[in-house]
Amino acid sequence: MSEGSSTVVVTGIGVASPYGVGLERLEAGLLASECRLRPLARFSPGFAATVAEYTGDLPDAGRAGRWLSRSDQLAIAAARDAAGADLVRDCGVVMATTVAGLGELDPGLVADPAAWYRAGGLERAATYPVASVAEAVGEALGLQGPRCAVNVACASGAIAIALAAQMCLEGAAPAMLAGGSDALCPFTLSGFRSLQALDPQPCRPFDVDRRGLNIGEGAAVFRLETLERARARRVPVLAVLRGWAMTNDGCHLTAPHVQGRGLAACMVEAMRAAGAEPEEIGYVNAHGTGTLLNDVAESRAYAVAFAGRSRPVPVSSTKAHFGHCLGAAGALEAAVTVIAIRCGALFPTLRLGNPVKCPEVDWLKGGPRRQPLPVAMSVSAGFGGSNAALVLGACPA
Amino acid sequence: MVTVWPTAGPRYALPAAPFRLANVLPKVNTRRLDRLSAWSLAAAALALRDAGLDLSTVDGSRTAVVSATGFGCLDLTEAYLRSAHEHGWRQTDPIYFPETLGNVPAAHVARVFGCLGPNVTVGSRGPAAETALLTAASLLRGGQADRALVLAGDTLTRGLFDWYEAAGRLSANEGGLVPSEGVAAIVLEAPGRQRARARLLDARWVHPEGFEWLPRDVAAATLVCKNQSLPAGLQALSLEACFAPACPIGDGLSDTGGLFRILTALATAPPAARLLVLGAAPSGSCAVIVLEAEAHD
Repeated sequence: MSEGSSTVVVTGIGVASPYGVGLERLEAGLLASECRLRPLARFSPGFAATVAEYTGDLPDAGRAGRWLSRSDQLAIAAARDAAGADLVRDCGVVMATTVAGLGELDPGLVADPAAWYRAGGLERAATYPVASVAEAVGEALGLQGPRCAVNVACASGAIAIALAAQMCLEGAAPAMLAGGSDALCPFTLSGFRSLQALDPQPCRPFDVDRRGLNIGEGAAVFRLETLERARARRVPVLAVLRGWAMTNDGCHLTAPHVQGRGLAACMVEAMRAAGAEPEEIGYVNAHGTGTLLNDVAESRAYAVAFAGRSRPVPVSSTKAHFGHCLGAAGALEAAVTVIAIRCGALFPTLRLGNPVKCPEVDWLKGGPRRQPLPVAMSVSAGFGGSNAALVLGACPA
Repeated sequence: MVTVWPTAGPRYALPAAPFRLANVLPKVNTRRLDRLSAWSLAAAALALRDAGLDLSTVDGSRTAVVSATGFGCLDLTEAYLRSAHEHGWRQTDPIYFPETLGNVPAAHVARVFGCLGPNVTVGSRGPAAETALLTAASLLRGGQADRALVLAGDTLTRGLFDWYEAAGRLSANEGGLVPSEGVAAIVLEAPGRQRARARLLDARWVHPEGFEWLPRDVAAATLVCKNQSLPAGLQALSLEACFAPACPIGDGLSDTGGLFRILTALATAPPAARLLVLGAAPSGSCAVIVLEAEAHD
């Protein structure tokens, strides 16, 4: 196998984030250190919450003509942004989501399902399966390649990109659209609130005084193909997906392994797969939710994965900018990592005053730090103990 | 016939037969789990037993879990919605919420059996089970795991049944869906690994390069099955037999019946027969897998 056919590259990224549609809007927001966290306004679950909402226009069903959930719409907006004009019909779709059409379900459904469906809920409920998002993207763009949904809690978006990259290498499709999409909905907000995981104020990941997370919504979609194919098409390469890995803690449903065992193993394996030494990683976009348990376990994982470096590894959580977008988080943060590589800018964790102690980590604070960035990593983790790490690099000359 | 809730006429379903989970998995507390999670644990335990595989004796980081579900943990999702309906979103149950997540069955399997490798839950409208198989095979080929537990299944609730009814999918006559429920599990391993345990193979995966996903429509895929012939590009494979055994359970799972159909076919296939496993999405691609039943003396 030639290097070109064994290398997966990113040739498009589409984003529908709290900053709006387009990678350039996300980039501008990050470079300006603009926080998009606000009091919840779109619906009222009966309690206050600080969230990051998408406030732009959303696409209609287009040729599909069926009911679209907000997660479907966000995914379509991002996918259209990523696709470009020359997307082949056989392109595959791997879309992650944890919410899908859950926000379409009214709690009254359970009292008399048949009556609720007759009253107009039938089509809305059809968007509940997680497969709905990948279907919506495939239908909206008229694609006939493989379609697959991924649902691995908050690691979903990164895992979707990893699985799609493997499908590219195996020739399952000439190109893949892969990413994640999740909308804010009362179900998940109340769930995280019941777990006392929400910070009522804008979150402070990795701060010793952190109080929890803020949920966001959005979608990010990567266009992936082999380097060989991208060169043949003479298209610009945004980044190289050098390696990836997935692990599971195997210990608890909602709490990470206290020493970050699974996450550390994931990062080590991803660097090995990428052929990158820990010293080469110039920036890590962290999972960094702002919850008490996650951030301490994650910092311990960095201590293991980057032990022996001559300098601490720069780490930040951009969830302080635009919240935790759940199933879209891994893809959105991979997009942030690509922006960091392309701009040569390491983005800080906003509101980080007093970071947790971890000598192996250089916690990024204040404003963006300008420096060349050949290789970076995006890290995700989720309920159920799943972890994912993507190693991204600048395009070879 | 469905009698546990009101229906528009005579309607049929295939509920899972009651069983004691403790008989399969002693010492594992499943009291607060969704049925999908509990059944996934049971199916995983039975598949591992059938494969003669004790996961405590192997490197857990090399064991993947790939699970397929169409609808996730429906029992507890409905329970959570009921609690929101009765008490409002402010007073929902923190015990239920994490158990409603779609990846939780696979997570429980990882926790109970020590599977520390990739843990992926997939969905696909139509071929979800086949997608899980392809994903697991891809993880093995890509060197990310040495073995994978592949699970697929769903549960049937009144909310789902009524949705099928309202959508016109059910019928008292022939041709309508008879919804079912259950979870099936299969162990996939890299070639030759079972020999060390002196175990026989059930089936061998036949994998010509680039064969498994077909960007074709349903009509083309159906033709493959009916004619037992292969579309252009697949002539290299000669199918010696093509089975379409009746599998009431699998056929009643709209997305995740694939593993049940494979297990049924393998149980009835003559030695060395090749099985065409076809998962067709209502729109878009098809998943095609060819398995060769192992000839056991």
